[in-house]
Amino acid sequence: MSTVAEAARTRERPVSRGRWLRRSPWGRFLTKLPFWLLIAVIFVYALFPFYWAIRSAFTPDGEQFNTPIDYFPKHPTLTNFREALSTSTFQHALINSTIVAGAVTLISLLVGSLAAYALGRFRFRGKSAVLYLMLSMTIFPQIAILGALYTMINDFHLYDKLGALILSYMIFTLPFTVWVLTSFMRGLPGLLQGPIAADRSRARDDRPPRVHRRLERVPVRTLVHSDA
Amino acid sequence: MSTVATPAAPPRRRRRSRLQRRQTRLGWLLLIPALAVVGFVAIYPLGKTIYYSFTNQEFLAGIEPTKWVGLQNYRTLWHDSIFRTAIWTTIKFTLITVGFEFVLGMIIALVVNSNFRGRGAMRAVMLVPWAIPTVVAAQMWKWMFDDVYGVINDAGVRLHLLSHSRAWISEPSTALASVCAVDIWKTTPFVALLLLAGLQVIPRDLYEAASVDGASKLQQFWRITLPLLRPAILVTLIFRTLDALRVFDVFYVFFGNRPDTQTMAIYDQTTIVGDGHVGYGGAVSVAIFLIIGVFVVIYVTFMRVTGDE
Repeated sequence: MSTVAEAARTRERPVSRGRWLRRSPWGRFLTKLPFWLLIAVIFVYALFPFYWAIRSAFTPDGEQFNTPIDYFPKHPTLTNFREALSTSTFQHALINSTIVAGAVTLISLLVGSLAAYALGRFRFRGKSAVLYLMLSMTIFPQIAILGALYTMINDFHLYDKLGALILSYMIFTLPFTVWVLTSFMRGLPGLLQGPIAADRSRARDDRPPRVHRRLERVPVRTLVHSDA
Repeated sequence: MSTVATPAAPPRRRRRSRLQRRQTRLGWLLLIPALAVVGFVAIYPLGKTIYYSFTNQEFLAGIEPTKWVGLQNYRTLWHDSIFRTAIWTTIKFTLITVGFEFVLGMIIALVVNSNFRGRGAMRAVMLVPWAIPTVVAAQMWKWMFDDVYGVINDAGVRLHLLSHSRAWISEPSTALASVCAVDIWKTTPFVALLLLAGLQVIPRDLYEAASVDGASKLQQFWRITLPLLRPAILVTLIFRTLDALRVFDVFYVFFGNRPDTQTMAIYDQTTIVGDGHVGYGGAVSVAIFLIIGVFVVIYVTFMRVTGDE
């Protein structure tokens, strides 16, 4: 009996302290403060480098090298943008990116959705082997095939052409597409097997690919830019 | 005995197997294009690379006739101190970045998983670094790390964290750290995202039951969150480790192919594309493949062990 009373007493104290913290506005502020500080830190950490890129973009060339540096452009300007967009190399790079991104998306969707349909809807022997092959491709060190790919591209006279990029991009976009679309196909509600099902699912096929395309384009762009 | 028990089975089995056979045929038919592409861009080149590694193949043929050299390339590679440095750089980079990304990613995932005003906005903000392409991010940070005009030196000196400006990227003592900082900034969101997905499938009532029983937040974290998050944690670590081991872009933007800060991938690229030694580069490729393979085997066995429990 006494133990119960003791337990009740020891439990009472933290509860009442908790009540003070919860009731008074000051207490509530104090308990929340570390949390909001943490959020502020994450916020700044995630966005500051991005802010810095934007700041530099709006800073005129001459002020870029001011010491001490300005944290906000004194004379914000659009000349950098104008210059970048009117440079023919950059325009060319943009066009290249679009072509490569478009072609890669198209091919991997076309080829990938066929495979994903089979993998997500059918049951057959060797299916899991193919799935594992695709999965292992996502952790495949692309550098390991660099030498052969380099000579292959040269043999096909694709060196320094967009086709080479499209070809090499298939190494990682196709397995990824297959993997994502397979789980999507699996999730399609109650369809039976057969060619009709394939037709019907195509209409709904629309959403994930579009998201996917957006995801895919970003890396494509960078590489082409860095190449150009 | 079994013949008595199964008179009705054969027809049904045959019907199922006909459907089965049709599915198998159509299934493989649909897989042909994908397998052909994979075979063409990955498996065939892999085999060819392995073949090259036993030859003295050069990119510009004609200088010297290509011939089979056996294990010559591998013998040279074994004593190649530059490659050894590259391996160490890569492994150090992997351990540092994966460690930091995991801890920071966990903190961010926990924050973003709790209920507060502006959670949606915070989730979007958290993803900004990940949305920026690696090469662009690296270029941004390179400018921030600049020894004279960089904001990191400026802010550090102003806040009295630094006594003087430093050349972060060119000083050997801080070069690796600066590159790690970029990768951590860039990839922590990805880790946080994977962990967040894992956190969201943990049932809420577990925490309610725990707090009714008087468990503190910290106890709840150690006893509920971490054990239930283990599959997500493992997947995250595997993805990150294997990604970090093949790192190329950040290092390339920061250092080009400076020998003391090369990664395995950069060394391979320099050997093959820069110097044109396709044969020797093939041996480097195979070595990288094996090193990454070792990590995969470690992870897979570890997963199997923990899965058995």
